[in-house]
Amino acid sequence: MVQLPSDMSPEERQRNDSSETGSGKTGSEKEKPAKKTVKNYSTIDDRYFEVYIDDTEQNIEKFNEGLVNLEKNPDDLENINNLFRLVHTIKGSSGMINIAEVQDVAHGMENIFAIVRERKSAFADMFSIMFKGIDAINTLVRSLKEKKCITADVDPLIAEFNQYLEHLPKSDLKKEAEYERVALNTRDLLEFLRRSRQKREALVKARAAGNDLFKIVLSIDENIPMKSMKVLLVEEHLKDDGTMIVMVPDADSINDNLKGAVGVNLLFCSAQEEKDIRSSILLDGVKVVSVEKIEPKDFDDLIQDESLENRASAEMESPSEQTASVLSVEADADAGEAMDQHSSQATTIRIDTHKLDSLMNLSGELITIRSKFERLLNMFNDEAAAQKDFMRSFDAVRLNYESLTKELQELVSDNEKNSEAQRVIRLLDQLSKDINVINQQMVKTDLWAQINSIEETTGVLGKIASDIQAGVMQARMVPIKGVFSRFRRIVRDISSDIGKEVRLVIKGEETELDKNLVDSLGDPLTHMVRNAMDHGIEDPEIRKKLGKPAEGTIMLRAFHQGNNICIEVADDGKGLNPDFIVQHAKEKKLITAQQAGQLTDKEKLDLIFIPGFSTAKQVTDLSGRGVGMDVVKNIIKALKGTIGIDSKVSEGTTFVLKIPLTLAIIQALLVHVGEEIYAMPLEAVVEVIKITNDMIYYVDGNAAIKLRGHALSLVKLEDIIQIRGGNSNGFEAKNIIVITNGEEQIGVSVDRLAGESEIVIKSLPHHFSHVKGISGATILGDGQISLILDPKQIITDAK
Amino acid sequence: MDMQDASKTVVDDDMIRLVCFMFSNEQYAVNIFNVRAVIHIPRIAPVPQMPEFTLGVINIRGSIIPVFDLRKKFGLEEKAINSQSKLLIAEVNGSQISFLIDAILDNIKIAKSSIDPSPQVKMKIKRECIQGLGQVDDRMIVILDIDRLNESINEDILELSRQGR
Repeated sequence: MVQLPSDMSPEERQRNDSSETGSGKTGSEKEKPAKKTVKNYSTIDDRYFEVYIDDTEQNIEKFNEGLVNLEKNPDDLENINNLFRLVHTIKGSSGMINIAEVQDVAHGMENIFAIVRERKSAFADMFSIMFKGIDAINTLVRSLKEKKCITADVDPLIAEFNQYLEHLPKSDLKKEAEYERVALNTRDLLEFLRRSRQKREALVKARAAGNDLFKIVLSIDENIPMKSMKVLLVEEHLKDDGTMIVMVPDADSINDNLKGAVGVNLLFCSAQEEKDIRSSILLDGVKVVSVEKIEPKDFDDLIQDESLENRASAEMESPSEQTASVLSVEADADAGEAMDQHSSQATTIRIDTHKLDSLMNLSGELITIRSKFERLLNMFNDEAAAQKDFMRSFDAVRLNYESLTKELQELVSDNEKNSEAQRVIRLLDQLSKDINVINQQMVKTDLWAQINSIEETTGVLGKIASDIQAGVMQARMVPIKGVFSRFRRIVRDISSDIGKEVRLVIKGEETELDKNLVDSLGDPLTHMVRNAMDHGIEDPEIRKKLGKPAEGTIMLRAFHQGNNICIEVADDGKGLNPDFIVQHAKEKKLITAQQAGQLTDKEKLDLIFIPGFSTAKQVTDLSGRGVGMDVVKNIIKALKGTIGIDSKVSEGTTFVLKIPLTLAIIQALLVHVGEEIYAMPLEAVVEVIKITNDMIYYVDGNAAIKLRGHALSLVKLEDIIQIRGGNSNGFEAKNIIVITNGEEQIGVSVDRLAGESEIVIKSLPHHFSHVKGISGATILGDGQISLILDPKQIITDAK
Repeated sequence: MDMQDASKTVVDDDMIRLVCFMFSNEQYAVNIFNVRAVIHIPRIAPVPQMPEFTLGVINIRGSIIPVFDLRKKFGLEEKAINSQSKLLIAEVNGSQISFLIDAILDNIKIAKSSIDPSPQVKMKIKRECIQGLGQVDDRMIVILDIDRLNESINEDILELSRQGR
């Protein structure tokens, strides 16, 4: 995607000009008025854009995490290399779609990291500027994501980078570092050879002519504007000296917009000496980093192995096609690494979540169809049973008939040549034979065997449907690591801001949850962690006085529990004091003194979830909205989850979030009220009991029964949901479903039970969003709609 | 379930195609763009806590669609459902709603310019839910504004739920 000068606006042209001279931004030393220009990127293809934003966001996260760790361990070489690669990738992908601002900032960071890499150790004073850099990139990316344009001016930051670079000690290891930066692993280069028969044949021919194989590593200077042309020139020059076998990247796949030097790796066959080859590539702007002969033993196996002849099918695309994918970067050290990963790890594929959503719907339909099959099978069974009864009856008839015939024959002796009687007997005999024939035929049709095989097949279908459903849901699951990773940076930042020492412990970050949940949980968790740090953890002096370690601990823990994912946010700070909370709530006129008097300590803690409770003016989350605990609770509720508090004064506080994993398919108990069927989620059902009227007693007009010594309140489903036309008599002998919300239980009376079923949750149209006690709808096997009950709401309304 | 698939679209600038039906002894119509289907009335699952004119929901090929009785909504004389009664499924604002009609009539083409937007005659249903009055031959047809009708339905529902608190 090379932009011709005539395509660019004067602004862009100027930007490109100044970058070509390689001096960063011109006039960066002088005071420049802040540019107020808005750079619009709306023309970029949405698909590439989405992929770019997604990838870059992930890379920013990883970078943040890595940088925080590097601050603690500045000599961690693996981390340094990793961070270098991340910032290099960000630079490259930004360059691919010409987002110059991000590219420039990343480039500045990369330059510093290049030196750090040589040195194999981080500079203590580099972290503030690095964090500044990644934050700037984060802001830019967010601006792109939300408005597809950039309004920030990155020039001052770039200037800062350059200034910082100036004062860093340069080392003589630069040459070696350069090689490391641009050279491909020899083995990886040879891999290109392995995968192309054409190239192997060229090598065989060249070797037969007595040529040696060289690995040449070149670096095209970053200031050269048309690098792809330079590479073509190199090719031309080398043609005279030998045969080019492999060139990575080749001229076609070099993106001239990419900043920084471009490394080119060649496998070249020549009869010349190394120094002659060097001199023939003497071109302006092209640095020969290395020329080395490859020992025959390293590649002989490639050209002698006959089995290679049969590997025609394994031929790979040429290197140029390989490296020109949307987000691939300059084919230098990264390409080698990318190839490594490709061959050794499982391949991943990027997939639109909408596609997964439709798969989910389809798998839900499959479950419904399976239920239909089961119903049909039941009908079939009934038919078969009826047929068996018929056969039995018929057999009885046959036996009766036979004995009757025999009796008749005995009665009419042969002596009585009563021709009439004899004729009748002959007819009866014939009839008897016919009956036997029918009987034979009936016995032959073995309906049962057929039903059994259908049953078996339906069972298999059911298993496959369940497996598909499970598989699709698995496909949408991602580890919660994606949510947790940002907190290392957050805790580090706040920690230094407010002067408290806090360490973050993360457990269970591999715990998986639905991708949808991941996006929603970020803000609430951030709010809770911030709270823990601001209000929970005490100042170091206070902690010491209390005999606690000066460093506070915040723990994020995630684990599965049944069908839910549980996330705990715990701190060992000062805990929540129920009395202070009540006081505060009274001051804010959220409750009266009388109401306060009736609350248990635990209920007092729950007051923090009332809207308007939050103490500080918190403009906490990234988008600038104020977030209170009430908002957090609402978000969790919207995910059909719960949030609970466990706290001890001066010991600490733990928030526990519990969110259902499978939002779409649940087990339910189907019940009848009148003509309609309702579905009660099975996880809320404790038991089902049948009661008689004499078991019911009344307290204040409310019905209840004694269940194993405890009182159980009763409600009629039609009353609590306000079903129209419900019968307003008292309870008759009914079925009672005992349901729980985790803490309390009540008994809900229904007319009849209709069995358990796996149901697919469908949301009701928005017109019905205010209906209390109903959380959705499902379509039963026969097409009938069944409303899904909300047990928690029912219990709340029953009080 | 017999369905009239509303797939023909209008090409001429001024002409629009309408799906006509009988409702409360008068002829009404909806722009064919907004009509998804007209079907026999399937089993309706009632939903509690909703205004009386909301009969419930139905299942159409896996989609759950609300059913409204416009007679009840506009306080018109009630009429028992008979074999001619049908359900008109309309699409508005990306979602689907349906309402009872007494009988399905034909599709007609009418010039937009010939529609009288503010008829002097008294209308049975709320004035704002009407796009205008059309005249074809000697037929007077009340053309519904389906968007506004949907909004009105939502307002009524919201009002009821607010009262309930």
